[in-house]
Amino acid sequence: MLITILRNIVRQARRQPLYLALNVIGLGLGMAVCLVLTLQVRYEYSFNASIPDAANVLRLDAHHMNPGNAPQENADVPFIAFPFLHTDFPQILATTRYETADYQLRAGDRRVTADTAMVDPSFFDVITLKLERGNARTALTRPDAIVLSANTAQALFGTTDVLGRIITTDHEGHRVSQTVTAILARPSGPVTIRPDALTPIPAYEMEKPQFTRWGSSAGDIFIRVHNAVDRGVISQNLTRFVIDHASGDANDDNSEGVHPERHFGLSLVSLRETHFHDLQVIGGDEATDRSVVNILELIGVLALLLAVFNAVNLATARAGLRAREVAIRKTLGATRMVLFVQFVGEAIVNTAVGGALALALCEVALPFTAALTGTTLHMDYGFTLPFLFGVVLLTGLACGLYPALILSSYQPAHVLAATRMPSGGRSAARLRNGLVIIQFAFAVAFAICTLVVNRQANFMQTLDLGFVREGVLISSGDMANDAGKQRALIEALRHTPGVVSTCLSELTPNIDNRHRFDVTPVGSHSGDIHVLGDTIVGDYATTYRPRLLAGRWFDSSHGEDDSPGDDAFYKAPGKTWNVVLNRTALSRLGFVRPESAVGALLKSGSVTLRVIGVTKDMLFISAREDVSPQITFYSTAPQSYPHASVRFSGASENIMRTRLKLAWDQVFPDAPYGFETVQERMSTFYITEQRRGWLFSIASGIAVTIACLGLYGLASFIALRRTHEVGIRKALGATSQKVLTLMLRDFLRPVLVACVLAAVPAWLVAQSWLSGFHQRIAVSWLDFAIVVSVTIAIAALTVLGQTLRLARAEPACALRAE
Amino acid sequence: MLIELSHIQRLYRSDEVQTTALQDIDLQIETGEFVAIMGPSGCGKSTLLNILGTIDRPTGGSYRFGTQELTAMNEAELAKFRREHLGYVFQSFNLIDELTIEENIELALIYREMPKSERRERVAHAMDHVGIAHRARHYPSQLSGGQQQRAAIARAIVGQPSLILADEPTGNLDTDNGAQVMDILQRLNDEGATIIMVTHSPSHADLARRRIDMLDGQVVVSVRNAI
Repeated sequence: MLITILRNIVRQARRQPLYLALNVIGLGLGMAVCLVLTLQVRYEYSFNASIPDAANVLRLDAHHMNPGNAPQENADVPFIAFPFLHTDFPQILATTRYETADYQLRAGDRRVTADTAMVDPSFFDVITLKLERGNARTALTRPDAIVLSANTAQALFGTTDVLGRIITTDHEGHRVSQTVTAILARPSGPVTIRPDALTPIPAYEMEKPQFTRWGSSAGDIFIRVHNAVDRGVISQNLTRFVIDHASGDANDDNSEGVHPERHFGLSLVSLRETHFHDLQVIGGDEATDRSVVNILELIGVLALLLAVFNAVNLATARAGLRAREVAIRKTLGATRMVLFVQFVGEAIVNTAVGGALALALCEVALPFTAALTGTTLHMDYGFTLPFLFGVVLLTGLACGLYPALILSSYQPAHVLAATRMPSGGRSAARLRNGLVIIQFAFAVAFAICTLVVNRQANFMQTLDLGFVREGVLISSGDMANDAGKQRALIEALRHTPGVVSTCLSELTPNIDNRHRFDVTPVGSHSGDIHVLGDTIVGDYATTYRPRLLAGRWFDSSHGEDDSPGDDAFYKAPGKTWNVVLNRTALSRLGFVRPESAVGALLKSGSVTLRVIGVTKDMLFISAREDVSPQITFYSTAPQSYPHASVRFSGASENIMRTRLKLAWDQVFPDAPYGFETVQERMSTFYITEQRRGWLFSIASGIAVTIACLGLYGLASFIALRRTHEVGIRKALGATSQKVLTLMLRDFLRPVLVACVLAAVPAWLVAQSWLSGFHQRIAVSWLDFAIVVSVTIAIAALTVLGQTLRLARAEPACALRAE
Repeated sequence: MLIELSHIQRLYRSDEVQTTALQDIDLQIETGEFVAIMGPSGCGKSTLLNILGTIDRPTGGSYRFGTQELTAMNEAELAKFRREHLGYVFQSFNLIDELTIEENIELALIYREMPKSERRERVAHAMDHVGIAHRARHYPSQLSGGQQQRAAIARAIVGQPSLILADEPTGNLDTDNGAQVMDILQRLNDEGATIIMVTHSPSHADLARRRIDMLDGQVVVSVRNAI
């Protein structure tokens, strides 16, 4: 049987190479898309899977709901909760705090800026990251211990064999010597926890307010539990935990009972879930939308389905060509079952050839996909080969069953006596058209969604941020709370050639730190709203050029413009300071127009704030995030950990980077930060959508290609079948032009129907995806018009050759055709 | 004179072989004639009919239809000529499987861009004329051979053509159905239609007013039947 099948395929390849090529290429493309996207989806679902028992490692997340703000979830929680966890929950096996900061590491001449996690000695009891060298039990027990990642060790020493070596570390001006106690192994799969270094939390760090106040956001707390039951028990009791430990202190920004308008809660997220879950968490910019990942898999499956439809369509369309073979075989004694098995076997062998092509395409495409999506995706043959085998078998069966049923059912006497090859009649024609409609409906829906994703990615890049982004450079790191150095830096930057203006502020594009406080309009009964605060130093207005909607900007000549900023602010009760609101604060505070807010007084504790101006919202955040109400202060005093921003002109960006870096290094030689553009700092917000857009573009391009391959094959068949009809029509007086119009209309009708069918689902999917963004485009009828026009144009080009040939047929020849 | 063929020649050329299908045909046909063309297979009967029907072009000679010289016409002009002047009946009926009988018949009028109401009226009349009105909504595959050929005749006459060309119209039919088709053709001729029919059947050829015998691409005999 196998020899018969192979012989038949070789014969087909010789006699009908186009048909076989269309079939194999279509299947190969479909399986390749399915394979690549499955590997991509598998990658997304495998985050933290390489960490042993990651499902039982839980992160404590904080939930804040404050007046005037949308509810927020934060992975950074107040560390004050840490000691109570063990006492309240005996289910907890181990727990650790995890606070990241930039450390300057130095070994000899080599210096590295390392994303360092300050953790408890129990870290490895909770998160069992693999070590290349060292002992996890003792690695973090010494106060001067430091664990390096393999990459960091390589960068510092050129080798990972560095246990016991001493390095100098600098964090916020605390320069100490630390001993390398362990080296982290390179993770075998994607992980969300990938520090450059780990070190015990220094004593000075623990004195910070975020370690002692419930309202703060210090860092992550991870806990290890035994199983899901324990997780459930802890989750159920977290509300009680908050009430017992966090409520009642009016000065803390949390409440359960004292301030019912506010809510503070805690929840648990498994380490296996954080990659998807963090999309809803503040700062979770690297997170992935699970629904988008699922859509990717759906696209993969649908691409394969399109290829299957192609194969079924071509096979049933051309079944008539093999009718005589079937009739003769049956006459010679072949049973229906034998023929059925033969035809299914042929389909499976054809699919296997397509599978080999898919594997080759996948090998070629995977590095590009990895580069495109910014992942470490690679071919895992241990998974790929069994998966592909299953796909080939199922696809082969799906492709072969129906055509085999039709072929094996032909009656020899009827076929041999007939002058025309059997076509399956109107029901078969309806099936073929139906499959073409489904194919194009999927392809068009993909294409519309792809266009929307790309437009949103583009929109996010070019969004009006409420300030002039061009010509601004921002320090990549913040600076110590050192008045002398901050002033020295401003001076150094101001005197740098090309610098137009410079300022310091905590809030910059892609915000690192946020502090919030409550304000209420004087004389209003609307209650407090929770606002984001920033204190700016220097010439902020020239540097960022915010759009003033009403009032004026700060002016150092006005005494009340110059507030003390930060903690000093609260140490000056009874004072009035001038502030500027953003548009969101304006509306949340209940002002109708910007002008009506100017001069208004707000209360924050015992301090009074006078609104002197209102600006457009300055978008330093992801388009997914709701804009917070913000109040800006001006100060000539130093601030906590601000970033430096500079507006420049007259020199190129790269030259300015070099100049600014020199100025920075003069003041902060141990904090070797560079300067970044607004675009660079905010790219994390849209890079995922951009990459997704590329991936979707390729997938939908292939989907359209597969659909067109099918349409081309079908058009070839129909052209052959309808030649005779064209002869009749021409004999009755039809011109070539009329025949051309008729044939094009007939070929394109299913494509048009598909476009109509695709519109509503595509709109719903696009709307649903866009609803995840606060700043978003509207789905436009133009998206549909563009995709439909392009699809019809491509489909028309696909069938044009066949149609023209048909339209130009000489009637006498056409009438003889069969 | 309705048709005048002078020195009509039709050659088929392939890479290696040149075949002469028609050679120096001179033929005149008057309006209202019923001409039967006979001859052995391959003698050029169908080729001559195709040229008369302008669905094939002669490689030489002149074809005048009334006052028009058809060999000088381009493809679009010939299509217009066909839809205005000709009606076809084929041996294998040549009905389009995907269209109903009514739609098949209407096809001959669609290319004339005639109003739909008039088309419907003419189609109904043509179907009545050949006795297949009760099969209007059926598809060709649901009809017998005789019924299909009557539908084809209805399609041929629905446009009220100057000339009806029938290529072995009884070739695929049994005796009874063949006789019925010949009756219809005779009736149409009696009503004034000019008919040229290719046939293998001497008895059917005898029903025509004139009989032309062909051999090896040439007209060898042209005789008027005594009717």
